[in-house]
Amino acid sequence: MNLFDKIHNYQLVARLDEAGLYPVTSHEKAWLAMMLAHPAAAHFFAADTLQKLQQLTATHERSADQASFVEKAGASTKQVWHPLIRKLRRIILGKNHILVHSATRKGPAFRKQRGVPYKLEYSLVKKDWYLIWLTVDSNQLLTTPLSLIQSIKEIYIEDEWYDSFLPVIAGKLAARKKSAKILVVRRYNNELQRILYAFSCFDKDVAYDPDTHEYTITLRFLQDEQEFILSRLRFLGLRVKVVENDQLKKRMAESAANALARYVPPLH
Amino acid sequence: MAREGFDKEMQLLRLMFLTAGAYNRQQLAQRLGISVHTLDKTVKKLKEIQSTIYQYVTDEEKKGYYTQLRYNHFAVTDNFLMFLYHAKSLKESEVERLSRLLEQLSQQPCSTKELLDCFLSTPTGEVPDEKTLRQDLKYLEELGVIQKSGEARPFVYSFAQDLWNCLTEDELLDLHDFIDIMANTQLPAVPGYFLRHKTQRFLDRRLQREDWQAFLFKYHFVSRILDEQQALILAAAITKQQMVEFCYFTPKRSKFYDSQNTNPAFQRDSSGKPQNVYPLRVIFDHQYGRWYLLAQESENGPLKKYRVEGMTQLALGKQAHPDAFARMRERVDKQIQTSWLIDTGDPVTIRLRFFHPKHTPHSFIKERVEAQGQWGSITEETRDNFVYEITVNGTQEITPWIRSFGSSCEVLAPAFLRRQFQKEWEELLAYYESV
Repeated sequence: MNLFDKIHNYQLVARLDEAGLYPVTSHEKAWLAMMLAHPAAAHFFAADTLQKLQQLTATHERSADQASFVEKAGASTKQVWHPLIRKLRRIILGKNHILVHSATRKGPAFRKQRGVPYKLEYSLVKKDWYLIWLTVDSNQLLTTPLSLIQSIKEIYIEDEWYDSFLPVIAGKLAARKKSAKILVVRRYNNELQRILYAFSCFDKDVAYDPDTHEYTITLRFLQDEQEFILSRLRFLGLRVKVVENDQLKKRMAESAANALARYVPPLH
Repeated sequence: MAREGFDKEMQLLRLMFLTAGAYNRQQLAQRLGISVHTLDKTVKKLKEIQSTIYQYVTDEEKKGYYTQLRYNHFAVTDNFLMFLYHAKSLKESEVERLSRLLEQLSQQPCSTKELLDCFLSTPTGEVPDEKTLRQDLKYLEELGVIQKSGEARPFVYSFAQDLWNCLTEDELLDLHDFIDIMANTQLPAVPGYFLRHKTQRFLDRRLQREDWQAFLFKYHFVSRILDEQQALILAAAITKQQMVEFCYFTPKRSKFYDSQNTNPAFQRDSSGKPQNVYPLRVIFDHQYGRWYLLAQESENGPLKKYRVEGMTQLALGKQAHPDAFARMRERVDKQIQTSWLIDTGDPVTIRLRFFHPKHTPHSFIKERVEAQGQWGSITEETRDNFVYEITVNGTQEITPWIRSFGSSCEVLAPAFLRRQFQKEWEELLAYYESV
């Protein structure tokens, strides 16, 4: 299989797009056939849709190429799919409100909480689905795991009303943005690639000082991503040092002190 | 004519993506082993492809050297690096011919002669000769984009739109969501992203709006798709039991590529090392989002480990002996059975004590250990902690994972690892004590 096929040439794709033509190659159908064989596939579709898709891709045999990938150090997948996805994505498409019954991690539950559903988010680290939504009464932007939601009811509203909440949500997200500067400790410069890969799932800039050969990574993230950033920083250990963001510095110091306290008596 | 390769574009995009603004043009060119002129040309080409495929690139972004080729993690749901796979170049006349051909066939099924007549009847553009047209049809048919029907000549060709035609709007939405989720969570992903883009554009037209995307994917190693072409070639070579040849740049070098001089008189020694090996396993590492190849030069030789991103000029080589290949495969599978990633060193049993979080009934620590702890198991459990045990090849690869738990994890055994952690936490504390 050559992924750089001329059918994907950008000028050709743009030209066909103007004409509303979307040619599907047998490689793509083979990929689809392979994905339809995934145990979660049946949940995504109504039975007759699934059957139609299976028939459409039946002649495109499972490519033997994929059998040879071995995946390591991944998390066992909890769920690629959740029963609420179909319903919620259609409510978002229809620009409607929701009435939510949900538990929370800390205990207290929401009952009949009215909200604006914004996006469904999948975390590739936790392998879990979340609903990002704005509560209408208290104007809070929440991220609720779908697994905690007991029921969702759709409330039909005008599109304009739904759209009027979007700037509010954007404002709340912008207010949550944080940044931090992380220095790659010079003696680990030969591991630079690995370190940059570890941060490749974040929004970042890198600065390089040719005189000192020091690299500084500026990470931009949302407040609720801080715990994952901390876990990445601990993951890299001595290779990196937080140089700007007092909260992260404080948490790293605490973490190191508490971890060290597990190992008594001290070395010296 | 030399075959068009994309190593340079791939390495450039990777370097720009990972080092996000760290290097100026001279530094980038130097690290890629190309001239600044070549770098500028390549950047220009990539930007053109990107703005043709994705209309959301703003004029402001187009002005900056870097800004356009940067990824906006907060807003974009497409895999931003996918545009690379649209880079195959095509003559203008070929773009014209192929698109007219497909447009014609989408309106009604045609024979070769009818198609030729269509080209003749419109005075604009060149009229292809019959041989060229037949070659195009053969190519498109092999690709599965058009179908040939009829028992005998003249055959009739039609545009294959079954996927679009036989599904309702509602079903297409389910299909789009399925493709989106699978391409973002499963391997391989590139064919899925192609399909996703088409389904999305098709639905944009059907729904007459473009604001219907509902999913976000968080903590995605988007750059993993840059190596998929190589990973697929390697996987195919393994299936066919063929050797592979490539020029290898180890990740610790400061150079990632070297210009290819097609004129042999100007050829210089490449700083990469030529390799000729039996590919045995392609491994994807979820911790860093990187690909590896495990291979051997000969049946009795040692196991060699390569990072797929360091491979350039990858090509298939000679056929392996099936028995010897099977023996090598079996051996490597045994060796990596207890590798956290790809370490094939001596197995060691590690015992860790994890502490449940305080003040919350929800033990996210245990949840994480169960999800990410691979084949290890929990051997003891009390109200505030539990003991996890795993036998793994060497301690090096699992160490970052253990460390990421911070004070929620204590190494119990082996003793040397316990001492190592104690020392590391001491040093890390020193980083922050002064602040």
